Amino acid sequence: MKETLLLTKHMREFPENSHKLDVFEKNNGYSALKKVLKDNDPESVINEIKDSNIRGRGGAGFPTGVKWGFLAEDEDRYLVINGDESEPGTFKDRILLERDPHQLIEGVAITCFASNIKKAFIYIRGEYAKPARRVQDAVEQAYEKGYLGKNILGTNFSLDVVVHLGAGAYICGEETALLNSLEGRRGEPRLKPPYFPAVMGLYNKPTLVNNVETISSVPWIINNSGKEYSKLGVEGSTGTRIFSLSGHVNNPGNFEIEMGKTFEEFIYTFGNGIKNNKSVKAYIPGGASAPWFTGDQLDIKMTIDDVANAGSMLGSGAVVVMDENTNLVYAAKSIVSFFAHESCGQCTPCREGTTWLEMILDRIASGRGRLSDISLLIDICDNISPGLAWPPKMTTICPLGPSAVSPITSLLNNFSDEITNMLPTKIPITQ
Amino acid sequence: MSWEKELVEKANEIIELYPEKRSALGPLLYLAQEKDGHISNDSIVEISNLIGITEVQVKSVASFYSMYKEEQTGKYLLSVCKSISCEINDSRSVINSVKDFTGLENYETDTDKVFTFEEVECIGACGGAPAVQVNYETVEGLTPEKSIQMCEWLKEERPNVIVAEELQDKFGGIKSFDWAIKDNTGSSYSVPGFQNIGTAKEKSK
Amino acid sequence: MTDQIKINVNGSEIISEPDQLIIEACEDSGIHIPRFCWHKRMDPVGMCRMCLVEIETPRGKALVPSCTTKVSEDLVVDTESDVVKKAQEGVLEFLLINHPLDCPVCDKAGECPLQDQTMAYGPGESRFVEDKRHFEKPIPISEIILLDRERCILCARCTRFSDEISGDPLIEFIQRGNKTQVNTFPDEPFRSYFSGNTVQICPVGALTSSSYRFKARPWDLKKVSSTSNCSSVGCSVELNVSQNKMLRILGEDNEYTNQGWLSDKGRYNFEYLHSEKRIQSPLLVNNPSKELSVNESMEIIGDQIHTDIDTNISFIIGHNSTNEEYFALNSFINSLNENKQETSIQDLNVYISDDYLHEGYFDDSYSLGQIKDLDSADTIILWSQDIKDNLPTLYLRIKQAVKKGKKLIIFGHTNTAMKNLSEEYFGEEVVSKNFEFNIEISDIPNLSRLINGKEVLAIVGKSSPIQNMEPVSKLINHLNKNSNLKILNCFAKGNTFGAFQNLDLVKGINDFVDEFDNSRKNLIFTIGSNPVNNSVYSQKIKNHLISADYVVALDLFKNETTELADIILPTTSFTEKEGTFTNLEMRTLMQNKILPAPGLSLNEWEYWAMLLGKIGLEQSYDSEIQLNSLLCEGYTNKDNLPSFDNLNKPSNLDGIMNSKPIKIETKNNRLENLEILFVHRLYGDTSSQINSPSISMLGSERFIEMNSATFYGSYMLISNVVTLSQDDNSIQVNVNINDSLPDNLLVIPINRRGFQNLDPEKKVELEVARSREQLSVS
Ligand SMILES: Cc1cc2nc3c(=O)[nH]c(=O)nc-3n(C[C@H](O)[C@H](O)[C@H](O)COP(=O)(O)O)c2cc1C
Ligand code: SF4
Ligand code: FES
Repeated sequence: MKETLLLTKHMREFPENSHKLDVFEKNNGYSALKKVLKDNDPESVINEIKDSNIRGRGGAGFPTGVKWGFLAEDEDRYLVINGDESEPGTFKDRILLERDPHQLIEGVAITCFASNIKKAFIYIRGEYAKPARRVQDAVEQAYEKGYLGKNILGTNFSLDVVVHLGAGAYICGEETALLNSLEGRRGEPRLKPPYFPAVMGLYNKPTLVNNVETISSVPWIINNSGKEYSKLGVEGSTGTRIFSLSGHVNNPGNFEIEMGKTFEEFIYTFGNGIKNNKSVKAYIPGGASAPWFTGDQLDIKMTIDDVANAGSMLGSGAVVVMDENTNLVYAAKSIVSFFAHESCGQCTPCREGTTWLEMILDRIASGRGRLSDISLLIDICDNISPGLAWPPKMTTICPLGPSAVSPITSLLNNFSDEITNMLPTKIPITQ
Repeated sequence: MSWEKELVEKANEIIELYPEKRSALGPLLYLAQEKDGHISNDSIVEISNLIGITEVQVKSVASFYSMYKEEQTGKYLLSVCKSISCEINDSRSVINSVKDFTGLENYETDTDKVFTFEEVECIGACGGAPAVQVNYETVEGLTPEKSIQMCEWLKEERPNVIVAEELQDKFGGIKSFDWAIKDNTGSSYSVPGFQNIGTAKEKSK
Repeated sequence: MTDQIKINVNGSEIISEPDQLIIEACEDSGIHIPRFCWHKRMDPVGMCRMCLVEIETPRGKALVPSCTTKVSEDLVVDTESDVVKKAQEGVLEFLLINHPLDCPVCDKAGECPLQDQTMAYGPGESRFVEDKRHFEKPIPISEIILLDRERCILCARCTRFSDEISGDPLIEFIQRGNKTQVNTFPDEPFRSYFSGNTVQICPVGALTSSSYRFKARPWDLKKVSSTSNCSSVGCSVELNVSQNKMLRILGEDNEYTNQGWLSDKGRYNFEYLHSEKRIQSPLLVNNPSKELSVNESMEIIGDQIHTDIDTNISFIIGHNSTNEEYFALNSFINSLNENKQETSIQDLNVYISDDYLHEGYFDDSYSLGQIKDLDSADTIILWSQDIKDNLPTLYLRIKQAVKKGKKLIIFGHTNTAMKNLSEEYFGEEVVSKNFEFNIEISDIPNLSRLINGKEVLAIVGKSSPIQNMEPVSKLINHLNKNSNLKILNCFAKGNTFGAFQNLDLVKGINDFVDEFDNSRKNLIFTIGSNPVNNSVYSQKIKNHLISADYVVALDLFKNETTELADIILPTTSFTEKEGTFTNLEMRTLMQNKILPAPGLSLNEWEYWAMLLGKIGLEQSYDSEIQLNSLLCEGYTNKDNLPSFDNLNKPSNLDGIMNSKPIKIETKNNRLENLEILFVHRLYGDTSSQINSPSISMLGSERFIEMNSATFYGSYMLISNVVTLSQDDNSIQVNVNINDSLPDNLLVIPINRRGFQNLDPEKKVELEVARSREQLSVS
């Protein structure tokens, strides 16, 4: 099994200086932008994206071309690049920002050209200071060379790009929270309806919100055509994805592959097996929000639909491997406290529920559990995500609250003895 | 007026970047954080005047985000990750050694204002777990021993600019990806080093 | 009427307005969905998640918040399914885990939705064994409001109100997630004219008011609907009384007027009702002050009316009488007029104690507007005194209209508090400091774009007591020609319109000053008015009262005016009498009696009736209800009479629109080169306010306003504490900077003590104060 390098090709070839404009230019950089400006046919750009069947890489997997098609007419429209990457396990956007910022900027320029947008924001999480520095340098160089700014490359297309730093709030990855954050407000998700970004987004104007990886794919698609792109991967999950692999593997890292391989292949080929030759007890297939799979489920295919059908999600493409020695109660507790810490606090079930779950897990982990805690955990989860189904139903505004339910149901469904072992008296639980 | 003229000018430049003034609130809070090591009430008053919202609105936003600190931080903000990938790679030991070395609990600052310690959620370095940020510059693949050495070094050397590569070379281990690109920029104090808010600093050679 | 739509709720069909939210549609059909964050008058936020219901969608049943989901044709809603019940119980349990169990000492107990819903839906026993969230128990967040963060359920009603509705976001969420709490900024208390509304809409006992804390339990309260006389909006209120004491005033949601909101003055200005300082019996002021029986007092005054010397009688009325009382006064005057021979009376005149009187635009060439026209107009024109201070709930309506996209145009340099709401603010380039046009109306930039052919509602009145109305008339006539104009005549005080409607002729207090004729015998009645305080003409009025032969004061309290009277008659407040009130749209509303009159106090009409008797004339009424039917006879439109009977019908609780011709005569006053703008601020030191301890301090600070250029340039001030002097008078004041004002203009609140001695025609000096001692700090 081999990687298929589209987005990470350039940075692999020029590990020392892939972020530099001259290196980027020498390697076909900005050729896609030049091409679309020359053709001057925005509609055809959107069609290429539609043809590629690329689905968003931010987690929700929404078809990008369709999203672009929804953008409402208005004098002012905006593009916002979601570089808030904070989902535990995920660090793919970090390399794209840090090591190939011009690829993103070229994607931004093409996207804005296609959708007649004159102002774009690249929102990068505050902790990514270094990647943000690289992007800012690149933006300045691009302005100097006329890839951004007034009358780009001598055409009447003009575009301003502002790089904006977040300040430590996972929830700002949720697109409407991100818009609030960018407006100088608390990063609280907005109600959908009525705040669908493509209709009422930044400053209540039509706004495209796309992930860093999604937009970084645009230049390749334009250079090679949407059709070519759609030939990669499998139907429904076309193209490549950069998967972030971490946890108990020998060789963690970001790997760009076509979708459709199994997790087993992926973990063993690229991760170079499990540390100390241990076996996999469980793994998370798509970031901390995703329900876990067990070590017996390694043959699931890495496509959006296969993973969904198996009861989880490919999400942000973060694979976290937990070996046979992992204490899964601690693992679940870590994830639940993450969501409790990152809840924006608007919705009662999320604000109160996630903290309550955290408190109970804390109690159990410190040996002060009660037998009734298991049914209590289940009931609290049920009150956040009724029916504990997948995809989750919600009593909340956004999916963050229900995300805290995933590790608990994963734990209780497949590893219930791990938790009962920690309770004062061991009796099997019946759900 | 608690802000010097230059700072106000800088603030106004930032405000200019956005279609609406209020969008500059986040960046301006970083200016405030760099000035005092926390978001002081004086700065809140200043910012509220600059962008035309009330003080409590500024406070409301500032307190929402964990990178804006209510209390003054030390020269080095040590943020040790405790999220899932780090957790299962024993970040707990790194946390404990940093705690032992500095004598600090979560969110505490020592009396000399050298270190502030905090346990944080995922910093996007899961491939290099356990990971740490010093003034938002990432160091990956730490061990308990290396983390103590790093703190000792910081305490001895007192570098004015934290450069990620330097710390990584000295104290880091396994990494999320190849860190081939060397550069010499970083941050000073508990603010991400970033050109747009004027906090990116170059280390003099 | 727009097409109604059908939806199905719990198996039955209900009819709903299109565009309604599910929660509203259900409410209108009597199906109550529990909620905490949703409030009919604010944008939904869907935060508390209490109102979840199930709807059918193409992808099966979905749980959605009924407060954010709109109805659509044939929508199927289930508000009672097991899933819904489970979700609601879940939310309730989540809210309760951190809510203290202090109902026994909580003001809200008994009218607390959280308590009620816990009874109805809540879990029996707590499964939460951990520690509850702790905060310092009630902290004062302003002079009148306390906040208990432990009780708060984070519904954001208070924060949204102060941001969205009142526009002074001084209370906000701090922190995030489970640490979220409501608070103010350390040095910036929740000082808002409207803060009390947050106490009323807080669904739990987190926000409380100092005046009501621990005073009563809801089940002990006697309640009655009434109308506030705080301003001429005539806000609908509910009066809450226990053991003959007013404990609380709540806003009632009248669609046409206040929509549930009140200013803090309207809400908290009631403790005076029970003040020990209220006059309990008729008093002879001098010689030495002596209590009289009512009969004795009537004898004395009767003798003054019935003399053989040529006498002028002047009535200086206030704005707190009921329509029935004004009507009784009018009949009294008419009877005297008809019997001039016997009484030697020469002239009878009624002057209203309102510096802002003008003749208004009442004749047939203008169409009169209503408050609700704010919502349908394209453009709103404002040329008037400060609305936020004088018609605070109208300010809220204007703000709401602007939010909905109506364009606001402000003329002149009053209403600076609304500048940021305005599309156009025509300050000094257009309107001079004297309120004259600096340019031709047709040359005003952008005006024609905003008015030509548009629906325009103009709120017009005097911006300053000393202003020529001619420019306003020019503007009005221009608007009348070029737009579809409706007018709201701006007279801000209480039942001013009731006075206009029920008195044959009303003149201004400035006319009293001019017309006072020292060569005659002068008998003056002041009726619930204190023109010696509160008026730019104070000095002259004072002199006239001193030189008058006999002064009768009807009032609740002794004050600067009653001090100059010969006899005082104790009267009643609006809570102690039955009557009607007419607001600035000419909507008549009911004021209901809920308290007994203290001591020997009588309603004004009773005095007029008795006095007529004393001088041997007949009166044709002896009750409020008779007066009410008599005054109803004066309406030409007989269909919709504002009788007590009609007004008390449930369908008329919003009031009755009916009007009578109005006659006002007043001379235009005008000064050249005005450098002082006299204004009325919401809080002042009226007898009622200073005798209401909870809010008395709010009107005690003395301040003036000017722009910074004037502060630093013309006056070269270096401190905000200055001494303001004119002739022998001097007073220490704070200077507030207001850069919306033109250069070299001082704004002086005339309704605060210490400013009344100023002569508007003379300059004042300002000097940095040497000591802070005299300064009253609030
Ligand atoms: C709680 C939450 C966190 C999210 N975090 C991120 C994130 O960090 N980065 C991201 O690109 N999308 C994130 N998303 C998804 C975004 O809301 C949005 O779907 C995405 O930015 C759209 O871009 P795409 O279509 O290119 O994927 C998050 C969603 C939720 C509900
Ligand atoms: S689910 Fe949680 S994070 Fe999402 S809006 Fe509600 S409170 Fe905020
Ligand atoms: S009332 Fe609907 S969510 Fe609060």
